Amino acid sequence: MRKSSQVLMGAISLVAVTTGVQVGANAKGSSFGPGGSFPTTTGTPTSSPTKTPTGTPTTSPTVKPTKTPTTKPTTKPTKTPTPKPTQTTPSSTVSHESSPVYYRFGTVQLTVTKQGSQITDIVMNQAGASGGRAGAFPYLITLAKQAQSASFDTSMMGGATYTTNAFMQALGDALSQF
Amino acid sequence: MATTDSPQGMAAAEYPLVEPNPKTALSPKRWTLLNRSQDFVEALGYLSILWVIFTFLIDGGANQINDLHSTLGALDRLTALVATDLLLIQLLLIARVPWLDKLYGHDRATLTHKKLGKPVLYMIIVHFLAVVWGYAIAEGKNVIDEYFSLLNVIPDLITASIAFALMILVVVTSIKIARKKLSYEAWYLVHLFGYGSVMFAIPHQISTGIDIAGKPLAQTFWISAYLFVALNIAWFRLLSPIVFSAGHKLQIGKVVRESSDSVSLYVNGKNLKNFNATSGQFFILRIITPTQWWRAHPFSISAAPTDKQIRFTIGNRGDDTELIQHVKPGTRVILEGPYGVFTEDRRTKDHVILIAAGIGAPPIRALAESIAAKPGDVTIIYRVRDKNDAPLVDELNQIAKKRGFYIHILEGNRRHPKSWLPKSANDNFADDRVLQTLAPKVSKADVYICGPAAFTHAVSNSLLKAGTPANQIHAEEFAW
Repeated sequence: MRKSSQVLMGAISLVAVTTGVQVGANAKGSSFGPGGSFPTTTGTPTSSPTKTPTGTPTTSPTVKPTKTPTTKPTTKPTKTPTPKPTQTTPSSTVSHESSPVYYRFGTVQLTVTKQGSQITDIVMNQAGASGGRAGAFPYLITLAKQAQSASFDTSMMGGATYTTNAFMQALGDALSQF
Repeated sequence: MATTDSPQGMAAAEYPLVEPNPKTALSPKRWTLLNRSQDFVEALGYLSILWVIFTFLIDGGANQINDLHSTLGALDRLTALVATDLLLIQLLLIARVPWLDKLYGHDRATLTHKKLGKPVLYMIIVHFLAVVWGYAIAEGKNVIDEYFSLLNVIPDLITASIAFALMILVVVTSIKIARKKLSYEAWYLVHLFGYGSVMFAIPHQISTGIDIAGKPLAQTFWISAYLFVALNIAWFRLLSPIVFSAGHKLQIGKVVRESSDSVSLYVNGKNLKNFNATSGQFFILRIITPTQWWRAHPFSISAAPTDKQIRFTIGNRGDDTELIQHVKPGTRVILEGPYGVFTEDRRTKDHVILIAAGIGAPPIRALAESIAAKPGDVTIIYRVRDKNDAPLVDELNQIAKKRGFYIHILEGNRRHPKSWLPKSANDNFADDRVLQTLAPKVSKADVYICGPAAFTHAVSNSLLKAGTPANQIHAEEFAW
């Protein structure tokens, strides 16, 4: 390449890199939305509490339940493992927190609330996802609640594969405690 | 000095020479055009790399860096993007596509392909380590345990690992020490794994590549880049040679011994003008026999091509070229090409010096036959060990006599290791001074050199010292 062309290329690179960094600084969250038309939550069970996490989930400082279920009868201090969830109250609300899942873009930890066998709420306790991936969590929560399962179809999500996997792992962990 | 101006031992029948080219345009404007086209193509390649870096940056790639973990994350994305882009450029460079060949010649394209080999591997190593190390930090494990646990976690990590292993294999077998120990055939077969490496890497790019999935612009870019390269390879390297060679009914016409260690292969066919081959170019020759069909070799045209015949002169180097010496007339062949810019098209001066050594003679011989020139415009210098056993020496003398060219046959061993001249040359003069006495207009001439790499370099140095501008020196190095 001739000198003049090299200089031109150098100038173009400089402009491209500075612009790239400038734009990149404001790019958070822009790129991990759904790829196509996103299904609305109309199909979800009507009994679900309308706690659709539309904002950034990290900002919602929900009650952090400890490993012990909150409904655990506290009147029995003995070690005897009698506190069975009573079958007579099918609509009782039980929450379990997942253990933290570390993955490349952060840490994911969530709390699942079930009413009977229904997943009614998923709250992010830790929603670490650098580079704009945090935008994926609201969609993941909606999808998980629709599917009522830790594995669901994410084909309409664009990108955020790692984040999705971490989310599913955390969800699976929390559900296994019920 | 063992120079001769008269033909020696014209025992063989005279070769039916073609009419030389009419006067060609010798305008320096063509250099400007060539430079511009080269800059354009190089800029495209360069911009493709800049583009992938740019997309990485606007996605916030550089802004998320704040600790070791995130640095590794950014590093692994960036190296993956740039290396994949370079890998595609590398494939294109070796695909022998005519539009690149016209600009750079096969030798420069191949050299660039070679140069990119190690940097691409290093980037992929960084990419791989950054991924595994990054996870290891997050999960608090050591890198090796982490890698094996990741095999179940990251989609398509297994195929990606195969691609990585194949790439290491391809590069390691291509470094100098390994190349010397391997036969060409073994190296070639291993090198074909390069295609496998590229393909095995694709699944993980799609399933986990956060710079591709869900980004329409990036997807369009990568799909078009992959398709563009794949189509170029499929057409120019696979289909086009077969289609052309079958259509032209190419087969070996006759095999003629030229010297104790070289033969000429006459390839006959129909409408060979359609190949648009010119003197100084070469073809990749594939001889269709049960044992040789999968190995192809480059050979220069050794006479100006005609509509019915293309001739190659091939030295015996003890490998496949030995088998070729015994090929039977009537054998089908496939020609891939023509390639190379060692042609009159690159000439800008009236005066021309053609310099050959040993089995470098074929393209020089072909150029001498067809080059546009007045008597006295051309000087031929032919460096041989023994002029009674040198390929094409009679034909060069015949051409020089017919067209009024100066010819110097320099015979004997080198006078000292760094010289390209024989013992018979005047020891009081350095190589460049001897060259000036052989060809007084050396600084105002276009010079074509063909011979072993060491010879070509030695002659080029003499030319530069004698005042020949670098862009008037034409040499083709066979970088195989």
